Amino acid sequence: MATNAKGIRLSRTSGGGLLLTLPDGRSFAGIQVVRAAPLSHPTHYICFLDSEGKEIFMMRDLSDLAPEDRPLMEEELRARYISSVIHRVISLRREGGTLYWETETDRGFREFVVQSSDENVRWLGERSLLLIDVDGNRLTVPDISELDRASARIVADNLI
Amino acid sequence: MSDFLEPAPATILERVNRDAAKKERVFIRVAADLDADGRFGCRWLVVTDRRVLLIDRAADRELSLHEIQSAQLDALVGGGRLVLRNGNRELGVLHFTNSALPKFAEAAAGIERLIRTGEAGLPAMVDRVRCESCRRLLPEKNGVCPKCLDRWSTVRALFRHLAPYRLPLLSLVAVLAVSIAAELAAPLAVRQILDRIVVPGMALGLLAWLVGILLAARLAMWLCETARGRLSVWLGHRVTADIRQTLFERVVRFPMRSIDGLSTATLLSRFVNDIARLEEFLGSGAPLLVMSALLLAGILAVLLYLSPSLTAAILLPVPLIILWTWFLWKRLRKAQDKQSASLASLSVQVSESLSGIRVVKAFCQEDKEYQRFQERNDRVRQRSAEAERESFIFFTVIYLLMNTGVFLIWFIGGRQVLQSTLTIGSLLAAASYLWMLYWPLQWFGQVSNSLNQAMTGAVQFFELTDSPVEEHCVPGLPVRRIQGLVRFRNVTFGYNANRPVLNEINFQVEPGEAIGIIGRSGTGKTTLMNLLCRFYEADRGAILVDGVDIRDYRLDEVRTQVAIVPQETFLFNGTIEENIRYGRPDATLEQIVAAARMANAHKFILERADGYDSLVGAGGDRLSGGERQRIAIARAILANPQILILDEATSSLDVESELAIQRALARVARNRTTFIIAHRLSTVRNVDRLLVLERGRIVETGTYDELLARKGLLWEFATAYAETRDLQ
Repeated sequence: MATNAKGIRLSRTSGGGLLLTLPDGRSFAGIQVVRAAPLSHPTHYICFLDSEGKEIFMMRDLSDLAPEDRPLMEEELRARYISSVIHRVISLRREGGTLYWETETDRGFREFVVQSSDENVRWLGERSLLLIDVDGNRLTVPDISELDRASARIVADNLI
Repeated sequence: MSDFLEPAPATILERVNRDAAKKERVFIRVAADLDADGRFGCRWLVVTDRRVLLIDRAADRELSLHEIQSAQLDALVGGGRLVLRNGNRELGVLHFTNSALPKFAEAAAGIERLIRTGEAGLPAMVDRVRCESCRRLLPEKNGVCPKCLDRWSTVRALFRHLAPYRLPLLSLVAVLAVSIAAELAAPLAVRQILDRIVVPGMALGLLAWLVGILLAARLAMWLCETARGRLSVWLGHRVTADIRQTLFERVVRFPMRSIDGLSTATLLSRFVNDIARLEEFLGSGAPLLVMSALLLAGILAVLLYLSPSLTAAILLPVPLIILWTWFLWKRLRKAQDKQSASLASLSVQVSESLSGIRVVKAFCQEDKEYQRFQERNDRVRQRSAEAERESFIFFTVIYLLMNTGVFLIWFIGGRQVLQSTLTIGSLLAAASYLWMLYWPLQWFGQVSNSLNQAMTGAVQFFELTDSPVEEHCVPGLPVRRIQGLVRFRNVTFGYNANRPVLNEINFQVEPGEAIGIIGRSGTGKTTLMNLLCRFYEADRGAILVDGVDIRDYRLDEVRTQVAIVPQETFLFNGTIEENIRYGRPDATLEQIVAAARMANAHKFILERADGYDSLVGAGGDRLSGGERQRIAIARAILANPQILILDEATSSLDVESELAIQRALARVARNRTTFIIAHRLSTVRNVDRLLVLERGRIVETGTYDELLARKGLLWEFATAYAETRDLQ
């Protein structure tokens, strides 16, 4: 199981699935790409699974991929990991243990509700935040200090 | 059959109708919340009897229903996608977040059914995530909107629970009224003392009277306070105990489907948190609320009587006090919440580090634990300081505002005394009322919060108690004695409508037959038997017992004549005897012993010092797995059912005890129908007939030897089984 991605190729099949071709010529149709550690290493350790869910191999670094294949890979990852990045916090209300958010994200405006708990409001390190709303959707703030001042203040005021 | 339609804007409906040649039937109309570029937006899926439409902001895609061979739902991270395929070709893909996943799971199953049978067969209900009237996002799916909850109907429901306590309630109000009257009387007596005695120098007799009144007022207040405390606490506990009782009674009678839908955590939170809030509110919040309101009204009346102009002066800072409380109370609460959360996280860490102390030491990580503690400890210090600061600011400003009232009253009142338009006694009385007035005012700001929480709790609660329960005996259904003829006719069932566990099950069992059910785990063996016990109702098809649909029996008849020993044996905390007796409270000890003998449990029970009186511990943890199973079997045997179901009931026993139990059962089971679910083939070696299940369907039936000869699935199991035995 190689972790070196040099020489592998990705392409779309006519049916719409993803085709992986290894340097030795073997190819797999209908593969899935899965991040091993989507929160701590989103751009590293990407696993390729065959249509049965069995691992074909793990790629150590996304940038090992041929540059022309990378957009396809990113498109696939973005489709699989439906989480959004919060750019701006418009408002945040706390009522008892419930947080009502209105945010601007990389996917557009989003309003959501989070039941405040260690599982749903997860600090990944000092400044990075993962929120899981009542429906199980994921929203992240990769770096609190990169938010605008008003948003950062709202977050700091309301999150423990 | 119902349709699965979400309310859609007119433009979407227009686009669906625009190119419809003829009238067509719309089965499914749901919105995905991600657009084609993966941005939050809206994309509609519309399925009619002829076409499938994917409607985007810009373009529509239209597929003919004939083209589609499969509709597959892929669960992704944080959402999912619906893929419509023709063979391996993707015809259309729709992405959505987890918020829309449940309805698309239904839609995917609906499309599949539509392709195969021409009917979608979908639930009409779409989960509610927003309040229907104010469009606010709900804190729980299908839950109550905290803003729009119908306070009055809840208050009425609460009053219904208070109704049996009319007398204590009325005495509580009376006590409150007396105590308020006494509180109001005291300053008035002082006023008389000043105006009539001290200043003009009049009769001593009157002074004695007035001081007597003062004393009586204080005494009355003290007595009333004690009485109020006792009464309201008693009432609060009583009423909440009643409500808890009602809730529990309803919940144990819920159908299994409703119970599955409620997590244990949610239920516990209803029983513990919501009731605690309600209790706090009924016990202390509500009486204080009534008392403050009465007191305020009384004080205002007396003040107006003493001097209208002074009253105006006193009321001047009131709006400021209310505003201040309104604004800052939330901040104060937030700071206190943060403080208690940091304390909680500190104590979690302490208990974690200490309970894992062996691991900490084994890996030499004492320093790391020390540092983690230090971080949290620092945070507690910071948060506590912040909370203190907030509360300091809050109360100083309140005092300051109240004091402006004092200044005003002394200045305006003093001037009136100088002008002789007011007596000194009245001025002093007004000053004492001033303090009495402000406290309830700022208290109102705080109570609104606890009132809200209590109300939300109460609503969620009455919602539970108003849900339908199982009817144990529907009037009109005759009592029937079951003979044991069981027939499944085209039974299809799934715990979720989108994933059937059982598909078109058909079989018949004669009275007295012993049937073995085998198959891989997760193929629906237990589910099959759950349906026979009527824990769930079949989605389609019917289960007939003695030729009569099981739904036409009284539920209690079914449950008493069909006994099940479930996979996870559950024993209640109590003695062995109590546990065996559970289903038949009137059994004699002889009968209990006979049942235990048959279950091969008698011997190990006698080996214990307390015999049948031995305690089993919480969940039966003082017994071994095999012992627990045998007690559960004895419990089922004692109930003397016509149909007995053993669901992996002997899996923890050695083969010999299992055989002993089977022989004993066979002796008495002449006219009792028995179902035995097993993983171990030896368990079902001697049954009359075997049903082999695979992916929710019955794939083989026959005797053990017949099936073995057929070299089908059972033969596969048998070979694999023999191999593992060789390994041992």
